[in-house]
Amino acid sequence: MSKRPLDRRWLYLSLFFAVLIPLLRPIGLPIKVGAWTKTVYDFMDKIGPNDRVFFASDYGPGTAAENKPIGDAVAQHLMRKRAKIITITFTPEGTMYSRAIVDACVAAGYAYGTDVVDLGYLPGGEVGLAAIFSNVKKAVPKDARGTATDTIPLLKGVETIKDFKAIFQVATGVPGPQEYVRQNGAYQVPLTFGMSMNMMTMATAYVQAKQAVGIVPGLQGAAEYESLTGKFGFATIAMDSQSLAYVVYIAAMVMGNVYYFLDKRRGRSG
Amino acid sequence: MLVKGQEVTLVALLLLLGMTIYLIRSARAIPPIRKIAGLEAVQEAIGRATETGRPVFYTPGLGNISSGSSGVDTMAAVEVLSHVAALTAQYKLPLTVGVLDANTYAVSDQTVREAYIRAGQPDLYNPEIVQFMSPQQFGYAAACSAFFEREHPAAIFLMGFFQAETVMLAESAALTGAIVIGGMVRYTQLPSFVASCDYTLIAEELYVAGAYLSKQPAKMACIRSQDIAKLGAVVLIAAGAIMATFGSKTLIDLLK
Amino acid sequence: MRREIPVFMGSTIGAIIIADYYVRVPWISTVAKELLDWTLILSAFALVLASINLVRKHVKSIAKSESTAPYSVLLLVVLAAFAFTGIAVGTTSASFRFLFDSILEPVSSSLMGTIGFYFLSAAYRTFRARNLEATLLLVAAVVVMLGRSTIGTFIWPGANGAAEWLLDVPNTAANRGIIIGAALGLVSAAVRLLLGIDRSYLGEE
Repeated sequence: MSKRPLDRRWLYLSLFFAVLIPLLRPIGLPIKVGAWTKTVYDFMDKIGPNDRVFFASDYGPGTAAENKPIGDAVAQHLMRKRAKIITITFTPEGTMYSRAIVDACVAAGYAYGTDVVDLGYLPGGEVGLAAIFSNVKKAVPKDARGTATDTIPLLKGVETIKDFKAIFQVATGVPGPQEYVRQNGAYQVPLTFGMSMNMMTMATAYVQAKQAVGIVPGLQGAAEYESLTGKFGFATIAMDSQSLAYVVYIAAMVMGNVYYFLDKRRGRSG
Repeated sequence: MLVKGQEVTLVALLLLLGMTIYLIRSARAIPPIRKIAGLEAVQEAIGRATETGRPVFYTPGLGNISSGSSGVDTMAAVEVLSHVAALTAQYKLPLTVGVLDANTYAVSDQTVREAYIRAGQPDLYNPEIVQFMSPQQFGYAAACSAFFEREHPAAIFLMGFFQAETVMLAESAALTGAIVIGGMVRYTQLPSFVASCDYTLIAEELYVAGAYLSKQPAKMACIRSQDIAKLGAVVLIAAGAIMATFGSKTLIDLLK
Repeated sequence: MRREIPVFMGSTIGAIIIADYYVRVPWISTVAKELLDWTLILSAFALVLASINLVRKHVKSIAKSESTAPYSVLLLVVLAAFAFTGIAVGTTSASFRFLFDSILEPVSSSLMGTIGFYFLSAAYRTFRARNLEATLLLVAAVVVMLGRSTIGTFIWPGANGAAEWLLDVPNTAANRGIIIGAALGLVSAAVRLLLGIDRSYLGEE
């Protein structure tokens, strides 16, 4: 490989400031809502006050910066529709984020047990998913607060996932879209996802095959959702940073190619 | 009795199972698998480690061997580990295997021990070859990256199931100057491997790795049946696309 | 017998789990669910073994005063803090939540953040227009980045649509091919395990 005159650390420094500066002094670049986010928003907008939504926060602190704003934006929308929210997670670290959704609901006037319930962490990944889809109360005998699910008013009459109006999963890994689509095959409950951009390529095929309704893609999707709901949050602020970071990436790729072609012209190897 | 909506997949599974059993029992010769650069490079990587005297690092990824989603990817990676461990035992090279999942740790440890016995070097095995790095995704990736920086392995194998930490592992491996051979099935992170690794096993190339390296007839027969099934899928897709273009949904409804 | 019993168990258990996916027979469902519960119990025991390996490695590092000994001390202290707090006061307690919020979350997020720098290094080092395919890859990467950022759509209003087209059409088509191929490969690999042809879990080749 040929020598590059530019020390990579200058690039790292550029990226650091490209992310930091807009967080301190937002630029306010306009956000254009894309088709994917709009599809999920339009679907969620049809959810009514007595409709139960299975809300899964399957992510951890590593990807919370991208996933949490998606979860928060959609939860805010569902709260505005006064939908009944049942939170759960299939990853151990997701319990914190499930709990945060419940706390936000309670702060918005929801009554725990009647309007919102936290089913906590269900281990086993896809196995746990299969179990709860087939029998909610048997898979989760007690909610996250230790109350028997048989006695919770919101879960009265709930047997399988078919008793839910919709499933919304904020995904970062496993279980992800593949597992949800597979397990939902027998029930056909409308599936929506919020996920990091890198996961999105996995889910678009399912949306096109109509096995899922839509995807909120990454931080930009969260910002778009916030602009649709009118409740601006971290995603909107962070979009400026993301934009400038992409400019740094593109500049790095261009520079890499410039050096490559200059080296080629000078007849060096590489 | 049959679960609604699963009839077609059950029939497909039974057909594949039947075809596999038939090909295993049949005495007909199976055509060889095409050359897979990543697997041909295993010998080259071990050779480089032997020349330089530097260690070999292997990780079967962060999948759970008992999970429905990542189990088979991890099993395929453990199959390749068996082969790599036998080679490192044969050439008396230091080997480190980094794992994230506890179940994978137990199976990897067993695999390495058996490989060393098979290679006639049981005394070279020690329980510290397989290291449980961390149960956390990024803790595991950071531990692996730190190992690359400290020990400068000559050959790094990144096989199995990976998620967001892929680029961290692949790039930190590439920056050490080692020969890096990656292999994964999950396509969301494949581009990171393709960009950073010297050789990459893409998607089902990882699944055939065990058969490719061992050349066992039964495993080769399974690969053959997989190829026949793939051909059948191509025919169905083409037929369905043509029929749908002319307004017929018969095949689509039949397969639902 | 040492090999045959585990292979027989693996094949039988695998067959029961698969049968439960396709048929609704009460006793199969009961046995399958019980077996799946057992995997969770086995995983817990495996975690104990793995934890012993982890602690042993770091204690050895401290005992030998290796260069990484201070980090090993830190690891063991934090491990003990999380373990004792979780067991003594519970994982839903304020203390555990404090540990999670002040240690695990910032550290995980920071490590995730370093991925951005690794991507930058990879982009600078490897995204070279060496040939037609590499050039297409480079152009696609630039278009998607512009389309998925507010500055991109500001500079080029059609960037969002172009990015969505790239992701919806060629990307999804390629992914579908990989999904189907990988799924068939997965089924074939599972069939090998069920039939006892692949015994890598026993350490065999």
